[in-house]
Amino acid sequence: MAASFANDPIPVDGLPQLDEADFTPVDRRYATPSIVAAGVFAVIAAIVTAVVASRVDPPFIPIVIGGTITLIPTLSAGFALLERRVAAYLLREHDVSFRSGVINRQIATIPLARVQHVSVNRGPIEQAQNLATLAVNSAGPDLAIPGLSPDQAQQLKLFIIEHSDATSDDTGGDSTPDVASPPPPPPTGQPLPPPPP
Amino acid sequence: MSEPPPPLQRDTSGVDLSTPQRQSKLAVIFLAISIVRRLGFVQAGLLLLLFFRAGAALSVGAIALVVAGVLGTLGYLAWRNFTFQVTGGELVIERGVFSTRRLSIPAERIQSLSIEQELLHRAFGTVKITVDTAGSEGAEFELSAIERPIAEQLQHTVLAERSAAEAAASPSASPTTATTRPDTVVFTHPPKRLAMAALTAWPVAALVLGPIAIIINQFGDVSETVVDTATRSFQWWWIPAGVGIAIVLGMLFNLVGTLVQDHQLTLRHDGRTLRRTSGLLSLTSRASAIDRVQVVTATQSPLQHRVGLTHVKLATVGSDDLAFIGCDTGQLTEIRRLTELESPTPGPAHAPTRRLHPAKIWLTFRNALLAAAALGTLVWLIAGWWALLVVVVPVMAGAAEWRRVRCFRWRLDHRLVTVDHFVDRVTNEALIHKANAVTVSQSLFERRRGLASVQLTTAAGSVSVGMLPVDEARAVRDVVLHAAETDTRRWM
Repeated sequence: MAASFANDPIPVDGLPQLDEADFTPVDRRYATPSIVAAGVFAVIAAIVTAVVASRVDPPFIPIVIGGTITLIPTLSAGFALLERRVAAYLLREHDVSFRSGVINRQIATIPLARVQHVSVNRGPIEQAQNLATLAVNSAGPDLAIPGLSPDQAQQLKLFIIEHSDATSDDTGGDSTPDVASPPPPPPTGQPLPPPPP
Repeated sequence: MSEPPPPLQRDTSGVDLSTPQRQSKLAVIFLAISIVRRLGFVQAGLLLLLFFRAGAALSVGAIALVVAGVLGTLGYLAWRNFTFQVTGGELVIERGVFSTRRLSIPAERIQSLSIEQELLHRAFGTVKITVDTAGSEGAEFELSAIERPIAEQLQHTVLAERSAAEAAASPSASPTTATTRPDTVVFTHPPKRLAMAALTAWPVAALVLGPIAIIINQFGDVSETVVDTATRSFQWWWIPAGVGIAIVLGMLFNLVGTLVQDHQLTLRHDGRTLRRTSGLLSLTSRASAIDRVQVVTATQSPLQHRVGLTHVKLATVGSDDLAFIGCDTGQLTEIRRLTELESPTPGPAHAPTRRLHPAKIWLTFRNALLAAAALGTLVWLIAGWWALLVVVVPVMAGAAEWRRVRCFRWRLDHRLVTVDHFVDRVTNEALIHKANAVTVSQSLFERRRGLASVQLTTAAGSVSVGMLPVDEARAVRDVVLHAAETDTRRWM
């Protein structure tokens, strides 16, 4: 073991820092389909448990089993409800981040220089809600930002494409073609950096 | 690329690879096997069963003949339709049994061509080439049987085309990435070193061989004797003996396996690519561009720590992870130097010295306490006051975690390195500019204490540190992001 124990603060002067206050929350409705599905499943499970328990003797076993089966979707619906307030994203000049998680809160950041593929996906329910999900893929882990309006998602996608070597293809809904329109101004209002070499 | 790459010196000593070439006839066998494998061994077995039932009148020999004939024809068709050539800066392959497909792979997309020689190949002087294109799914395919000189010519030509294409695409690239020096051997392991490494590794095979030996024993004469003269004490005596035998068997298994698989384990480099070759019965060769190495992991079991040997694994983008057992300190340093992990001025000032927050010990202890409480209640219902023994669990868990937190070290400079010393000593390191994503996460426990964990994920594995004060974790993230976003070096 090293005799010297060092724990100096890591110098970050002059380095840009990720400020949680800059995060933009996503539209809360993105979680509705999963909450509703989990809720329906829980209600059905509860009803089935009640029916079975009232007919079987001793009722202890079906209550325990049925209770567990009801508890799981209830918990997942509860967590999805709480997560709506947490889900938020941040696009900076050189990276994109997404905050998620209720028990384990995490912020995942992908530098734009590492983005391989970006796409706007809209499932059938999302199309009905007029929402979209932005999927950002790197050679490592991926981000999926739900609860965006279709225009927002397209703007983000165009910005990311223009600042990386990413490829793209969209699924679901009416995918607008990738027109080379001028990129939207970055959130900080600073001038855009020159295109990468 | 606006201009086509300059024409290469054609290697006229072998075949003309710019025209379609076929594999060696030996490939018929391998292609037939791969057809069966694609069908699925289960389905093939079911088909065979069907044959046996339906053709009960026919003899086994006749059925075998029919099956062999069908497979042979399919294999022959597959061989006839399989051609490969290098033309226009691409490796072009046409293949198929009934309908042909054409694959064109630009030379820049090929990460490596590995040459392997299985037992059957040895008899005929042929080799197998595996082409790795390192897509995100690790796409790869193989040329089943080619004469060795042609294979080496193919490997040379494709890699030369790749260098030429890259030089043409980015003329401003530094000269070292464009030139390839002749292969330099970095190290070769003599058999004694391999044996030492095998014997000091964990005899994992014991976990499998042990129970198997016991089960076999159940029906053997030895257990009869034990049961016949059984008193409680005599039965207990067999347990440590059995464990000892299992461990010895496991070590033997390790020894034989290593001596055969890693015979003449050699690492070579040519300035751009690392190549690992080994094998007694079948020679395997794995290669990876140095840039594609993402995470280097060095593991030492307690015994290996004593004798100074390390198991080094290079996680690379694509499917060819390079692993080397039995490296000494000098060889590990050389590997780290080749992958640019070694500091330009190594020394104690660059040793990992940061530590984890000790709250981790309390977390493990508390979780173990909860688990022990649950377990204890269960045991109490069954065995009464024996349940008090369960107290041992959280105490041991807490002590183990205390030792682990005391020994853990990490460091952030141009790389993120963690040294974890729980049972094995495991060092994980990655160059920070290769990060594909950085994640800062806080569990409920960490949030209440202002702590966090940070994880740097590359294209082939990750390095993570937790738990740290949240400001420190965020600082790590910001430093890593800045490096990934400003460093213009190739990251894969």
